[in-house]
Amino acid sequence: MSDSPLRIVPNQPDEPDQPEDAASTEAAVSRDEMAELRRLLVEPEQVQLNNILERLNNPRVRTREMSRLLSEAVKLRASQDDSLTEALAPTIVTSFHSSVKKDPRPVAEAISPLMGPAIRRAISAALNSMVQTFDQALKHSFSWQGLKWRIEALSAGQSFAEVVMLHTLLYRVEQVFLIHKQSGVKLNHVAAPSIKTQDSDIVSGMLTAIQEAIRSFSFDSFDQTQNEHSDMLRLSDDLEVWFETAPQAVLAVVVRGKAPESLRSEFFAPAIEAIQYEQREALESFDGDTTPFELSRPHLESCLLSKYEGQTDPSKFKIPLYVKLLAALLLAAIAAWAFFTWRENRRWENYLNTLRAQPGVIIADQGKRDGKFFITGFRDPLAADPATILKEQTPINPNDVVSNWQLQKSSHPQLALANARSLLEPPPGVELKLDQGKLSAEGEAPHQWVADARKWARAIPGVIEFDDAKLIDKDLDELRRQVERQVVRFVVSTDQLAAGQNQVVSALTDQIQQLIALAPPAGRAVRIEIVGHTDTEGDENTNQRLSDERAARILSMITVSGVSKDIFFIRGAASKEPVRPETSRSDKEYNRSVSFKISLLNPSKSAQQLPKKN
Amino acid sequence: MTQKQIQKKICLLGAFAVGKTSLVARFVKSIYSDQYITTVGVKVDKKTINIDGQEINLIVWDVAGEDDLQKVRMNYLSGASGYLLVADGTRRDTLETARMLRDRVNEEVGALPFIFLINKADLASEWEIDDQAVAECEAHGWTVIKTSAKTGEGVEEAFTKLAEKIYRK
Ligand SMILES: Nc1nc2c(ncn2[C@@H]2O[C@H](COP(=O)(O)OP(=O)(O)OP(=O)(O)O)[C@@H](O)[C@H]2O)c(=O)[nH]1
Ligand SMILES: [Mg+2]
Repeated sequence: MSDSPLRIVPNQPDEPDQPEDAASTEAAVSRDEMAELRRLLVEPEQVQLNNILERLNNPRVRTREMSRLLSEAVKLRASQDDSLTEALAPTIVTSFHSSVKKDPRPVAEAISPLMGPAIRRAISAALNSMVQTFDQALKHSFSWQGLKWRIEALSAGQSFAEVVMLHTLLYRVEQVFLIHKQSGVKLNHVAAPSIKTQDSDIVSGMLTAIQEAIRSFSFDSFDQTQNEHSDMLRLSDDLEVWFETAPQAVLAVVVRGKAPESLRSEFFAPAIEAIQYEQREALESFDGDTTPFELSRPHLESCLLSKYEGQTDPSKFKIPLYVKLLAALLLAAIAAWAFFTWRENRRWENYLNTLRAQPGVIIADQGKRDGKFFITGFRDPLAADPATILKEQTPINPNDVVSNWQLQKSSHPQLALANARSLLEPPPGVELKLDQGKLSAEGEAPHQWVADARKWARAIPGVIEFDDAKLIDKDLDELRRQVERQVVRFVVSTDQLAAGQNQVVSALTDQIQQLIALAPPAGRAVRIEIVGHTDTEGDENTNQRLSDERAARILSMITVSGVSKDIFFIRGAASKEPVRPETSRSDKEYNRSVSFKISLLNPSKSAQQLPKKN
Repeated sequence: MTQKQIQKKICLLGAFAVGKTSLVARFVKSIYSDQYITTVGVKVDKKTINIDGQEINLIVWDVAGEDDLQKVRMNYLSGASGYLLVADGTRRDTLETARMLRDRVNEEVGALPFIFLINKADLASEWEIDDQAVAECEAHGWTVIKTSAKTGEGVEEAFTKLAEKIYRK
């Protein structure tokens, strides 16, 4: 059968023509050959087919196949539309329910790590909605940076203040809660200015609850990665709550930004310790009444610390250079202003003095109003023009002066007297009269009024002359009487002062000096007569000489201090003008003395009134 | 001087879904929703009421309900002046949970004033807690109030009664 392979070629053309017997043997052979041939030709496909059949009929194999495709298929479908989710949802929900029913523990374990963050988010939301507007914003409003942030705020839909804060805040304590440790009830609460706070009672409770939760979760599932411990709660990237615990109270400090840990030991711990110490009793007996804890406010406020960019620690706060420069500038400005004001006032004073020296010019009122000088008064048409003086004789800018001068020549006597009264305002006890231009004042008045009246009277329209002959200066007169009441006593038969009389002389000298000073403004000239006395013992000649010597002695004592001799007259009266009638020994003592007589003269008439020199 | 401020912490205890959160919402905000959102941990709220002319700030701790999954954590009751014990009239087993919770409070925290609320009074036809059970509770000295967070029935009364119990004790 060496040739057979070649002969049994399928579709051989002569095959149907072979005889039957031969054909049957031949057919058997060829059937084997056919199978062989088929096997040779089809076997690879056959194996494949069998494999496919097996894969189709055997579920284990099919699952293995599917598992390779499933995730790819789900991904593909999910990327196309939501139908897969919709199709799966009911099944998943049902199976979730039944699974929880069967055994809730796995689900519980799965979700408990989420609970911490969930509560944290809730508190965070409550604290975060406190709007931040604050003075930092002001500082940056005008800078180039400020402009950029303004644009940023516009484009981000945030408030400008928020943006500034985000950029400059290093840290800020926004709120401080004082919480009753056991119940979580808020005892007191303070917030930084401009922090809008949520209901602090509720936040206090929530803080206590979560602190509780942190404590009990921290050993199992509560977010270990964040390194939580019960004295700090991180609510978000830049918001934390720090707890400081005392036996009966908890301080919860809401801090935005990155605050240094040292704040705890420097500020927070001392605050809660102080509160616990000061209010132990109130804390121990706490039964819902929070009024006593108002006392803790200063301690809580001491925790409201903050630090912004460019600002050093609150504990070591330094004044920035630009503030110092500003302060220096301000000081310089104040000094300059003071100098110019002083110079201006000097110039004004000089101007007034020049005017006062002008005959026919009377100043009624002057001063400064709304930053300008003003002056009002009267002037005679023939007198110098105050405006011209202002322009030509002073460095003052005429535009800085409001002048109101009235031309005044004469006035009706009635009107003039009325004017005089309203201008001079005579005190009770002084009477004014006007007769043919002569204004006379009669009565007693204080020194100041007398001096003023003399100065102003002739400035009153219609007044030509001022007669003060019958006007008594009360103060001057009182001084006069004081001096005249006194005597300086001497040792018997000498011009030596008796014991203690030196002081009398020096007091007298003071009073006399006052007299001399007060007299001219009151229109008076002082004349003082120093009279020496003796007792009635001894002969008349000796006594005369002794009394002369005594008077001379006092004159020299008084004038040694610089008082002019010109106003004094001395006279010895011997025993002829006793100070007291001589009826006792002490009367004699008073008669061995010097006394004073004082005249207050109208200078114009003084010539005739001078007492004669003895 | 201003009137003194009195703060009182109270808690709501009970089985899950009996309506504790709904009762607080009704009492504090006068709102009600059919949706059930289970409470996780605790939620704190506040309402001021007036007892005998004294303003009292009730700080209300709405504690997650007791279920197979989670026991009520007794440390939430720390510092509380009293509590509302809540059952659901349509679920008999919630009465058992309430009894059990009260025992646990007495054991772990100490006896506190409380009021027993049987909630969902609006669903009277579906009730499984009958009058006999209620009478039994009252026989033990419990104050029982039927409430409905949905209609508001008995809610104000329940909180006020508890506040009075606390304040006048
Ligand atoms: N009909 C009716 N439904 C109520 C009433 N109170 C509460 N519900 C419903 O009961 C379901 C549970 O209410 P919640 O207040 O969330 O129950 P809860 O006790 O706080 O539950 P947990 O927080 O899981 O412990 C919600 O669907 C409420 O709408 C009520 O008085 N009447
Ligand atoms: Mg709830």
